[in-house]
Amino acid sequence: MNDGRTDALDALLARPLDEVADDGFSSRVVARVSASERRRHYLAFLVPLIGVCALVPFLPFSEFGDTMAHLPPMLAGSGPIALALAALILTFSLEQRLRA
Amino acid sequence: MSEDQALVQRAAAGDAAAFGALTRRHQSKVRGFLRRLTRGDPAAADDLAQETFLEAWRKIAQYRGEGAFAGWLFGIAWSRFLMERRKRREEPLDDVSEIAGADPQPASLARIDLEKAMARLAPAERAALTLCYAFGHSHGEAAEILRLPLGTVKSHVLRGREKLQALLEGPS
Repeated sequence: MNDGRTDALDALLARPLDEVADDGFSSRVVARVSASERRRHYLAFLVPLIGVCALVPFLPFSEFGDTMAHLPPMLAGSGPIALALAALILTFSLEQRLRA
Repeated sequence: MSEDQALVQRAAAGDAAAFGALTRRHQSKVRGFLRRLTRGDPAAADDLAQETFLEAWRKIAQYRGEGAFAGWLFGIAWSRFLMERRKRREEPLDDVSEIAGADPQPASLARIDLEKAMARLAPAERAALTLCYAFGHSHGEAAEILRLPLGTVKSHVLRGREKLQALLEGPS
């Protein structure tokens, strides 16, 4: 069934489409891509920040302040902490002497 | 590794410049395909082409290198075109009776060129004929791009050719 008419039609259909000049199209696409990436980065930063800000009123700051106020006397009265501090001071002073 | 695949890898890692290079390489084909789908409306075609490339950027990590990158872009362009058409309700989705039911004033080959005749086909026929003839895809590849069964694509190609022949020949 392949006569001259169908051959001509096939040739016409197989002709490549006309080249479309870029004329700034690709630059516009890249500009939109960059803008959407910037938006995405802002959102990635802003959403957690807003979440933290929303949580702030519910955080137990008063209890935290009380704990912090009691912490130094607790640490001062702690044997293991005193030993650890002594070990650190000894190590530091030994290192200084060896360097000298 | 082809140049497209290398650029795709870089783009998937967030390199916008590599994606720009991909856009420059394929913009003509995608815009040409969409111009045919939109019946030669360059503004509508370019809007859809922009959306196509933006969606391609968002989904570039999903491209697995199976088939040509241009084919993957055509698939996105086709689904964008369908979404836009559903929004506007321009023309029925499978209007295969468009020609058969029309007033038979078929123009002669001298009066009507291929693009005008193409504009009278159903969108799926335009798409299938363009992919299989102008871009040289197989029926199977066109079926994957258009997400249609193979038999449907073959039928679109066959029917589209018959309609075009009738339109281009005119009254005998």
